[in-house]
Amino acid sequence: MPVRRQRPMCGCPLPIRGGLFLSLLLAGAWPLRGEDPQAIGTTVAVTPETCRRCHRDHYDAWARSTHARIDGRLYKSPGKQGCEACHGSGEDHVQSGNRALIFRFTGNSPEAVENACLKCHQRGNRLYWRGSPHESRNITCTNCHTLHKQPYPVLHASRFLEKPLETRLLAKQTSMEVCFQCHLMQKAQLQRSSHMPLREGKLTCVDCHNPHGTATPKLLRENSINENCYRCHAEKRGPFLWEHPPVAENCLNCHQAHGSIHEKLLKLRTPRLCQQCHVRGGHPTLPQVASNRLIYNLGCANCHSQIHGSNHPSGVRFHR
Amino acid sequence: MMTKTSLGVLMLLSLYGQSLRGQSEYPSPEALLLRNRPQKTVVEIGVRETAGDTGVAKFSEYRDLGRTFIRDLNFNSELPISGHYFRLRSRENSENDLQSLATGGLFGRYKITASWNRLFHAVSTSGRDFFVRTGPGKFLLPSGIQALQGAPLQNLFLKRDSVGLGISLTPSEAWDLRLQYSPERRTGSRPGGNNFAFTVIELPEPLQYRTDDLKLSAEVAKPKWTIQGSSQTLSFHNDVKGLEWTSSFPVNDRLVPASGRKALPADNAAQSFMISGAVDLARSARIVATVSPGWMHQNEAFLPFTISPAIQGQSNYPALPAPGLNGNKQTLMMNYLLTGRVKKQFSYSARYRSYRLDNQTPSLLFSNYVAYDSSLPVSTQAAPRSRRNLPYGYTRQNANLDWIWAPSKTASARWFYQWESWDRTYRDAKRSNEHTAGASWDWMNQDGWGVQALLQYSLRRPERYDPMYFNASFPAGPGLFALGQLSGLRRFDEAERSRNYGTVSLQAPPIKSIQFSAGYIVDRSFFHQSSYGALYDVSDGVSCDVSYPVRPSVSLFADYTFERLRYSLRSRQRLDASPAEPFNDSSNNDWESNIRDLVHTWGAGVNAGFFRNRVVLDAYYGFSQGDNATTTASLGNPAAAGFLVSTAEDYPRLGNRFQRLTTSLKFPVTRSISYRVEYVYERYAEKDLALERVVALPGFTNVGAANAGFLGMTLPRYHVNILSISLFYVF
Repeated sequence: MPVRRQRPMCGCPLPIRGGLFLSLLLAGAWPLRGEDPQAIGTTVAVTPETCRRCHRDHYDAWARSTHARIDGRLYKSPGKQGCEACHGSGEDHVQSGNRALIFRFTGNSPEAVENACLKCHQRGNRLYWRGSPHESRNITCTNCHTLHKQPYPVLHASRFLEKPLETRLLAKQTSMEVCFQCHLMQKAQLQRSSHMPLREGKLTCVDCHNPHGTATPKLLRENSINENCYRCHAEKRGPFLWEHPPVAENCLNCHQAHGSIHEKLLKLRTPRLCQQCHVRGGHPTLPQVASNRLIYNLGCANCHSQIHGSNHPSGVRFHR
Repeated sequence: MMTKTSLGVLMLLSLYGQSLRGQSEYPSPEALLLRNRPQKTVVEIGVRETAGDTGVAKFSEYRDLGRTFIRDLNFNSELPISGHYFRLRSRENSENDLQSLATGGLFGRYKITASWNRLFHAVSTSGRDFFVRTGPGKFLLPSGIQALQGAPLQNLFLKRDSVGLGISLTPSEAWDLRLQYSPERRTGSRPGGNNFAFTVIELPEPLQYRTDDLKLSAEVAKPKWTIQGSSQTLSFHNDVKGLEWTSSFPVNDRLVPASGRKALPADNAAQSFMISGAVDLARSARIVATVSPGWMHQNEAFLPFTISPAIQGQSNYPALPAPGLNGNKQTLMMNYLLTGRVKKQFSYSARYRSYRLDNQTPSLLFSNYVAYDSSLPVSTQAAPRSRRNLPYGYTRQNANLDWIWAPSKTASARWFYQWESWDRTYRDAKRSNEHTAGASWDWMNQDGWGVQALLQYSLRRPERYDPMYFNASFPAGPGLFALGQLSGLRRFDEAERSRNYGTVSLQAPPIKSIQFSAGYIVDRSFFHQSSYGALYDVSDGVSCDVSYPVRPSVSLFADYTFERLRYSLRSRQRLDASPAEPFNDSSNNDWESNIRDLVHTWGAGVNAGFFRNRVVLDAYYGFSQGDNATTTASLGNPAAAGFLVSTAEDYPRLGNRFQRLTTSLKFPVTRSISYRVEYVYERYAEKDLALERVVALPGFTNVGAANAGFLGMTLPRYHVNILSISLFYVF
């Protein structure tokens, strides 16, 4: 699915023509710079106020962010403060005005961009970022996050509502809009008649998924698919006396989590859903006419209402 | 040309500047905060008027729209000197629908969060209930009532009230400590089927649940390594243990007793620990490992076999084998990941993952169990009535190998191999292996061209599929007259499967500012060795998205998505033997069903900002249409002897449509006050034979030889107009 890259964030005018020449001289005398800002090293801190002289908009955006608020409180080493925390040493750039002499997020490789962010953020939820499905598909931090650009002021009316979340410097106004840049099919599935309350703003993608990588397939937050579902549906956790094996193994055997045109997020309607496996004898093996009461209302669950598991001594058929 | 003099001056200036920077002090955090005001506080309150079918449950499926509302409250306060802050975000506050999040703390040191969310979920507003509640989960039918006429309306809804309290501490750059406690209360009722053999009574099943979630975590992160540890305790409590009801049908045979009882979800608890570690090695290599053991426990006291005192009083009424299940599942998740770089252009990742669900629940034998609260049949060899619960468990293992080549900053190719293995207990396929190979290509240049493609092929093979295993493992056996499992059946979650999965997306560079992207996805699963059961599961879809920024602040956009899902299954109508006649298990009674879902989703709108975005217009129209067709045909010869398949027919087409038109305009009145006017039109329509029949046959009815009683929920169809006016106040 397409990924919209961030446009170049800034242009840096040369303060003086001679600065370029001087910077070239200095660059020739100093060790070759790599893309990784960690490799640039910092000897003398360039303060945010220095950068503000030329980059007023970027400074203002940074100053509104949590980055500015924890600046100097949590990270106290010079290389992790101010603009240099992300852009590496700005000394050469300040001296010369040459944009090539400072680390820029635009136009750099995904790996270089993530290296800049992971200096501080390779912890918490980002522990599994390297090697994650997103990282291995050339997605990098700036595809979803931005510091210097305010998202366009959409009124939320046309898109999905979103529950109150802490600000995550998202490239779009809501976290779901960030995901839907690429996951158009999931966006459409949420519009279906049977859906979880994402479009009403009661859930978001990140309630179930951690887009930065997890130990579980499909970037699920919990240890398995079912454990993910049990977070909200704890009554189905069990263990039950009578268990339905495909239910205990994987909720997605029967349910379509992102949305379905069938009731209760089912992949298929009953009785066909159940008849995929139940050919043992008796009424489950009948095709059933449409007017039969085994078809209407809750279908098979009219009687087998405890299909997720029963703790009744007589509930072997999930009807008690 | 620069002269030697000017060059010398510049060098001197450079040295001077450098010395100045060396002496300059880095601004203190307090100084920075003083210079930068916190984000503005915004309150949006308004009134709303609705017209149309607002009483329909589908309209209030996950919301409760009040006439007055606080759409958004965003309060920010900071103390620049000390660095303390407090933020409050709240939205859509009405009696049954609110979301609030408060955070406060000291920047970079600690944070306290508190949230309160309430979710309202209407299930039905049209059902009628003729039972009288005599206690929690106890339903008594007044004598003489056999029809819905005159029965009171019964609204079915759920309500979730959840609270979250969290504290996170960051005592130093390396340490992070967190504590989170989240209790939730779920109340309401939902429709639930109950039965005596083939008689059905639908009742509002009460929900009085409480869940608690306590999580503790700690992390130490150094530049080269990280260790995380966490503990999570979860519990679920249900105030109502069972649902009891009196029979609404004549007690005229042994299958329709005077009353019935079923168990409701039992109390349970779970505990898990997780420890993760990551270490950076030489040559950009990194190892991450996670080990997470867990437990799930349930020991709710068993209900008696039956509610019937007459049966309980019989001399051969069996005793329960245990007072409770003492169910215990132990889980162990392990994940090991190695990533690294060989040369600048080549990187790799290797992962091994394992999830084991070891079910240590006792396997209990229930002899002479009472199936329908109706009678106590005696277990015989011909009709065994003993059942033993089976502790199903499994181990799922995955291994992945990825090889990535990034020839440029904007492109990368990936080749991968994945192995997945399932080891199951008490199931047809003890072990299965799935091998997947694939490749992906991701490229996007600075001009806006982009291509992402992924193609993978998987083949899953069970080492040995034993369709009769279920019979053999079920201790009492199916009985002399039962047919047992159909030998050609392969359950889709265990069967041999080949799967093709692919996605491709294209992003074109702006042509006269028009941006276009399109995608295609295909997922095809075939169960080649399945003669019966699911035969294939195929889906494909296309999506496209176009946007046209007329001006920097005015953007038109549209999107379209189409998805097609197809399933096929084959079955056989089978007739168990009886003492009077032999079984009928002829392949002439095979039948096949093909199911097809088509879903179209359209959307188009405009986002526009005028006068430096002080006036904002936002309009959107979305339409989702889903259709289902189920065709079924007999595969046998009706003229042949023993032909049974007389009910194979195509079902009427089903479908639903959802439309939503939204227009929202926000404009300022003063510097700090703005108005927002919003109009929403929603329309939902559904054609569903399952509910149409309920409408046609409400209440207690007699369908064929058996009785059925339903709540009588009608079709969820509505169209509604909503007009709201709200006022923004920016502090």
